[in-house]
Amino acid sequence: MIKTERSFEGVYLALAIGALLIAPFILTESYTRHLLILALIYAVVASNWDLSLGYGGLFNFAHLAFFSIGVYGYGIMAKSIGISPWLAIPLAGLLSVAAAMIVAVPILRLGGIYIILVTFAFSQLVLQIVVSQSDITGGNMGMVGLPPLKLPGYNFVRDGKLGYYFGAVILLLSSTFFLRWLVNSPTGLSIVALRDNADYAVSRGISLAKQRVITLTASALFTGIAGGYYGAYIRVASPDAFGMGLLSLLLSILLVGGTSTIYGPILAAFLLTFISEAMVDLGPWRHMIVAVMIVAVLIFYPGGIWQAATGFNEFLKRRLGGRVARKTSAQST
Amino acid sequence: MALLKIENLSKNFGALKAVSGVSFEVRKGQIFGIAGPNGSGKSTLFNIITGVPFSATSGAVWFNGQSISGIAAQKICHLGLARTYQRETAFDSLTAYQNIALGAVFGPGEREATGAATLEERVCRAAELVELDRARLARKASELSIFERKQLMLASALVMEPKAMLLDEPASSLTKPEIAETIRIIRNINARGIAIVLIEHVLPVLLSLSQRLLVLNHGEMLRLGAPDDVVRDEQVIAAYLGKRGARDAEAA
Repeated sequence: MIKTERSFEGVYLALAIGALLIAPFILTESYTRHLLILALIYAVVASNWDLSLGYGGLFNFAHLAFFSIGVYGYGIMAKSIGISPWLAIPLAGLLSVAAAMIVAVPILRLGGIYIILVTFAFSQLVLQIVVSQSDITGGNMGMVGLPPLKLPGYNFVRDGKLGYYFGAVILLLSSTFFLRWLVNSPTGLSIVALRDNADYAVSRGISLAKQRVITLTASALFTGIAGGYYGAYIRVASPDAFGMGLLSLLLSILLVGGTSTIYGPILAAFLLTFISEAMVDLGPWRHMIVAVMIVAVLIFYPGGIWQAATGFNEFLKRRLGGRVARKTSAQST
Repeated sequence: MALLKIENLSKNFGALKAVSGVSFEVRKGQIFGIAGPNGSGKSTLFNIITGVPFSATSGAVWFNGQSISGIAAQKICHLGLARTYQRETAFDSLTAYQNIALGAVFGPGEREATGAATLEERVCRAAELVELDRARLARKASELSIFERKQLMLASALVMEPKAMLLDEPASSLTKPEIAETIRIIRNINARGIAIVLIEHVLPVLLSLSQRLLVLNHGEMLRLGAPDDVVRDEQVIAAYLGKRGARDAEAA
């Protein structure tokens, strides 16, 4: 509807989907499949964080809490209450949306560092609730033995977790289509407009408070669903899901991938999950090397690896464009 | 009946009285000029009328028969009061087209947009009216020239289909031919029945367009009247124009 520059988005998307469909038949080992599934889930969480942090420019540190609320929401609904896992996963998404509405209220008109403080306090609050309400959440021990996903006569964990893999692929695809649709819609543009210049945006009729609620709730939807799916796959809900380890992994996926791109964090989720895993024998060196890599990427490619990828795309366009131009000039002579 | 009515409007920043007891009326379709030395409260006046980024300390603003004092800034815009800024402002990471489209989508609020025109038609019509080259619409706003960014800001205000526009120094930092074009553009906008309140330091622009002229000094009203009378006023010459300015004004 709103003109953007022509790109190869469709072509690259088709290639990426093709690769995701073929991958599990090449990477048949159970542990590799496990990493792929984790990467797919992290990709969903990081790319949705990109909506609030990248496009919205909101330093939202409650994003991981939205994910954890999804995990615990799934655990409580599917195990304690006994709702069907297929229903509990989308409901976990709605639970995170409700949480996003709650956190949106105090930060409606705040800016910068105050958003970090409030959202960080919110996630600590949720963590303390989880730890203290051990009758419901299992406290520090967490919840174990969450119900797995099953179709009649088929457990998703069979065939080397093939069911979970394709479930995660479908999750990532729906999340990505949702995000791309949103950021290209007038609502998405208004979110960027508020980031670029809030006063000017308001004087063009855009409501700061309303769009901020939309930004946070939209970014929580698939994050919560991914949390529910993670719970159904790992079958454990533990307070670790709030931890600094996962937070810094997701933040580095987002920054290395490149903010305000959606695709960047998705690419980085696969890259960082596998690079980090490839160095597992190095012990503590692994974290140091990853940290140095992140610093290096941010110095040389502040726009993340997506900036490098689009640079390649521009190069390709110039080459193709040049060839077309030569052809037409050859025909005209 | 007055379209925009300002009653005894004041804005204090602590002990500083940025705007103090300003009252005037702008009729439908009128061009109303505001002049005054730097720091005389012209832009602050626009800020407190539109509520961005702050509202007035006291006084009242009426627009189209409705009090708009203290209501949410985006609602003021929805009622049909659009403004531009002194610095050429845009959403820099969006294209020019997207900049205008945002005004078209969000500007009118609950009001119905005109007729059956598509979004693209409305955007292109606004760009055409401010003489912004259609080929530049696909560019990022940050890549445009100063004049093009001024045109873009006008187009994104115009596309909201306002009843009145507050223009803050539309001709500042422009070349002579660009200033002439700006005068023509403002005339064309006004010819569509849109009232214009114009802050300007470039006298030829101010004097060739304004039907009424207000001069502010230290946040207070120094003189309000027909432009020809105002520029001959001795107080105005002493406080703002200076002797050379007065001669230039005569020439204009």
